Amino acid sequence: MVCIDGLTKLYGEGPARRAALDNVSLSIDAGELLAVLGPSGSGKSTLLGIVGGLDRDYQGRVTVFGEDLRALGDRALSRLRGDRIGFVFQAFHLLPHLTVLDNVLAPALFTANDPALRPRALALLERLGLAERALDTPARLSGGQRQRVAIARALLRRPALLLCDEPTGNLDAETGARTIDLFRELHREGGLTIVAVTHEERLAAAATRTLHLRDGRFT
Amino acid sequence: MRIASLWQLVRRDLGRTRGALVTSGFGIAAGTAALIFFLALGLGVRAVLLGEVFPIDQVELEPPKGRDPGILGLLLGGDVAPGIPDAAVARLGRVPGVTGVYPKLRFAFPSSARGGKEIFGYDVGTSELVGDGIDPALVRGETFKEAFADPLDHAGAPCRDDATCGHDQYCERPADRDAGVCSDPVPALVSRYLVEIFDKSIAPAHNLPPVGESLVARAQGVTFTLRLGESLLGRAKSGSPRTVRVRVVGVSRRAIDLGITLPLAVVRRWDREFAGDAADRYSSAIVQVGEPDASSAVLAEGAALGLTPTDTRARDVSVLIAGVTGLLTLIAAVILLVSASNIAYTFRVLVTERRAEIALYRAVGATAGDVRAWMLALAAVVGVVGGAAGLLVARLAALAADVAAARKLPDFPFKPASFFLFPWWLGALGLGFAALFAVVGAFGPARRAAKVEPAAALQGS
Repeated sequence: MVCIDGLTKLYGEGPARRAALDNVSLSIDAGELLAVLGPSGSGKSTLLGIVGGLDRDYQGRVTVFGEDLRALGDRALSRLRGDRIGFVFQAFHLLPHLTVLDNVLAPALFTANDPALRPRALALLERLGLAERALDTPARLSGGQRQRVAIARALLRRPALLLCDEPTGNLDAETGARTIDLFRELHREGGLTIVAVTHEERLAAAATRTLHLRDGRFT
Repeated sequence: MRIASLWQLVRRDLGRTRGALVTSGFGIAAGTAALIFFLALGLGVRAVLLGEVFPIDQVELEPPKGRDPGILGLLLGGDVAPGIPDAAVARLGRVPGVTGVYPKLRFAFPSSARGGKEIFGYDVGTSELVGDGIDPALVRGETFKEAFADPLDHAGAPCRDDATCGHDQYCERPADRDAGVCSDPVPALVSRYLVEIFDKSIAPAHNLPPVGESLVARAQGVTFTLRLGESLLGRAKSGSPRTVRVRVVGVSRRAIDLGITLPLAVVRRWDREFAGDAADRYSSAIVQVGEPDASSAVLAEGAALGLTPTDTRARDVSVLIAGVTGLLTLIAAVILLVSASNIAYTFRVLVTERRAEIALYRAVGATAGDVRAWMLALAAVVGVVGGAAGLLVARLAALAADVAAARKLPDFPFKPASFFLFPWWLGALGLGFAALFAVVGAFGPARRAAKVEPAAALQGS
């Protein structure tokens, strides 16, 4: 599903230039729940951004669903992201001016008109225990609830690949544990491929494979 | 992106960024208001001046003025006055863009008039009256109380004098003939210009009532006598002076400015009676054009025939109005430019504030084009709403200006009820310009928004 070959990502200019990812190679099969662990600044989020097609300024070759990401035009890459990849961020990135339901429906703005998306959004909220908060704004939700809204948004278009960047990073231990259970459930039920970068050992314990990243290299 | 989605994004932005967008829209509204106000003023003034005072859809050509005969020439008799032959009229009619050529024949004899008792209570007179004859086809489509045609088209019974004719008729009989025919009064047209001059200058000076726009109704039946071949300045060289009856039937912009206009056939007949050969050559010709641009070709053809335009004021006024309107429009354009830069600033700030939101939309499937379209659509809506407000302000300002003009400005000839003209396309133009300037202002920020790096923005760097 994902094939990374000789991936290098450099930041900075001149003497300050450093490698966030240094000649990394990796293959991820469909149905995996992969946890990439590493300390802050190890290049985890950078890796996720590149795999998700959010960052194309790199060296090496990255193919996702058989598509060389750098060879894709903006429209094709955007379609790939919208149709087949879901993102969950540490900071949730919910839109404060929208209701919970509208946040979940945000990806629907950029697809062909699909009347099934709204019932699916409501069903996802129901499943994640947020049905009664559908018309609230994110400001009225707890951290765990916000993360579940972000997960619902990521799942709206039935992606084959879910990329999670420190999904429990902003949650307390109990809420984080529940979120990890949710990922495990999603992986088990739907065969969803999940790549989660984290420094949370509990999430690693739930993964089918764990990789450690340090200074831009797998160890 | 679907239009419905685009509108959804824009609608949400209008709600949450109301303050900044209203400020931007205010500039657009001010610029649009100024633009539309000045353009409407230019159009309104142009319509009055070029439609009624100096019509631009017609060119009147005349032959060159006669040479100065000198003392000897006066004593011995000068050259025959130049005129326009039928062949020249036909040639003018073949110029592309010409919709009609209507020759005119001036009175080639002295005349004077007396009448007006029906309006003023007593007769007033003029010791010298000028007049001309026009083809009735020239005023076809205009509505008069009576037909504007040669009364001898339906001549009455033979007569020797007015007493033998019916009520209101007169005996149309050249003095050298024994018998004539009973005729209705000759229909006459006067110009609006003459009416204005009378109302604004002559009537107040002589304590007479103004006739104004209701002249046609009030002058219905007003008949005056016209003395042919004789005036204060002298007598015609041929024919014997006689008196005929004339009736004002209407006001027309085709009528001579200061004088009366009669059917061409009548004037030709009288010119033959009192001036001989002068009746065979026209004193001028009105050339009507479909488009004002065609008048250049008419002038060129006229020059080739040795004819010159009687009045170049229409062209001069047109240039003057265009110049002044252009200057004022330039001022409005500067206001719009300033407001466009204000829009640019607002949208730059907006894009900076919304980097994460833009990045999120990119992450969930938005293309760079979608983001650009979103920003430009928002700007266009701000522009259109600002433009609509500007249009409203322009209309209200025009209304206020008209009310002030009606109250404060003294009456003058052709003072219009409104100095402004708001054709439908002016509104569309205002909205279009408002949207255009707003979009131009937002173009740079929209490009910047489309270039937001999603990964960096979502990581907060």
